[in-house]
Amino acid sequence: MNKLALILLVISLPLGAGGQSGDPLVSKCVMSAGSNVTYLKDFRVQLGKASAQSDFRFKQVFALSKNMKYRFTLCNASESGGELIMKLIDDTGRTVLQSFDPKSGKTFSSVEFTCNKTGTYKILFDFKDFQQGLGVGVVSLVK
Amino acid sequence: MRITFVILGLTLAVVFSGCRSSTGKNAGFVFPDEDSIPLAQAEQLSEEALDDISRNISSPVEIAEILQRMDVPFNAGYLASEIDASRQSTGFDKALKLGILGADLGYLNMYEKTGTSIDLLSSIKKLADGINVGQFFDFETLKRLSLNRSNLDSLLYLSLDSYNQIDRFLREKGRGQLSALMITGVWIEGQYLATQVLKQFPDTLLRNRVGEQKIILNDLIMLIAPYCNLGNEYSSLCKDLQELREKYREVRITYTLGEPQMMEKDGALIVVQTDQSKVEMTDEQLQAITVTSEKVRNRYISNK
Repeated sequence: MNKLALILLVISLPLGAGGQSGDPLVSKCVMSAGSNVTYLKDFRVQLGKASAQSDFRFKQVFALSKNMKYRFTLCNASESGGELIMKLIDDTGRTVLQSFDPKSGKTFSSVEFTCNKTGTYKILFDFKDFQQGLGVGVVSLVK
Repeated sequence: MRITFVILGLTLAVVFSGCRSSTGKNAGFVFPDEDSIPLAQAEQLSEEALDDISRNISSPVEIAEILQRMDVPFNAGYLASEIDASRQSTGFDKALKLGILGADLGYLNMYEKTGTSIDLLSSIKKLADGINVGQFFDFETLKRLSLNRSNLDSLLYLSLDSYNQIDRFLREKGRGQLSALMITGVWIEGQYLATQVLKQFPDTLLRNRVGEQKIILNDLIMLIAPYCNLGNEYSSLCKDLQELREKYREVRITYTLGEPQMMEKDGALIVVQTDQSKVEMTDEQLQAITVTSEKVRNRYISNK
């Protein structure tokens, strides 16, 4: 991504003009996705602290295609209580990837996924330890 | 460093059957032809099911990515230049054509034909204003970016983001039928583009991509299904998509399963899926899909 151009673009946009184009968190996240990608979609995730730990609370569906490489970029607002984490689940219910290691607790803010099976996938988001938080997940196509 | 992850045996299978049944629930409602549906009571019944359906507005960008890998030259003849935005009278026409032109915009931008896209942007603005979503397009910025190739990434971002926002807005405001039409328009044009290119430039990757659209088409049909009874325009579109689905009936997509390979590189997690999907589609099936895709698309770009 041409960062300078995008920064100028974001500055030039009216904040909150009818939607999220002026959302600085989305813009920051799109910029941090890297220089060799094409933006496809963003998911703005805002959740309170979960009363009980269950499954990820924010769910979206997205079709991914074979022979394409996607990058998931995860960003947090400074006031977030926890880090944004994600899982990708295929149409059989299998977890294809997750942005954290449940054993070590390590999280990744960037996940690159080489897709070899076209289909409908569920992208699940939550905040680590089911904390409250505000974050953005961006899906990009790696060129 | 190789990282082993515990693969959780989650069983969150995508359930589309609820969406299908919602169509039946809609049958008792009377809807006007225009988009001012009295708060889409029926639609809300199936909202959860509709959320389980993919809404890929970006698919033409992915198709254009394949075309560039194939070194297929840009062809303005593929564009829906027949569409006259000022002659679209119904919400149906405006929303569907907003999708079709959105796909063309993605194609133009991916090929860096940004100067050409200015005319297209004007048409998109008219259509978007016509269904009261023009506020999501910052046309002045888009035009400015179109005039400067170095801003291509920003242009792509802003264009796709505008469509994503419209989709979100329409659904939140109980105008999901227009959102579904827009997404259908994007898909119809992307499908047309892919099949037309294949006629001239046979390629396995693109051919498989066309075959795999069997999966996406099924999603699309379920997305539009709750609105098939809204009027003649909607029911015709539903029939067209069903006709296309018939052409895909014998196309087979098979899967082999594997465990994903994961590694860490430069602080990022890299995941390679070892599952494989395989498309089996005969030349005759492809020909039938191509002909029907073209027929359907050409019907909807005409100005009546």
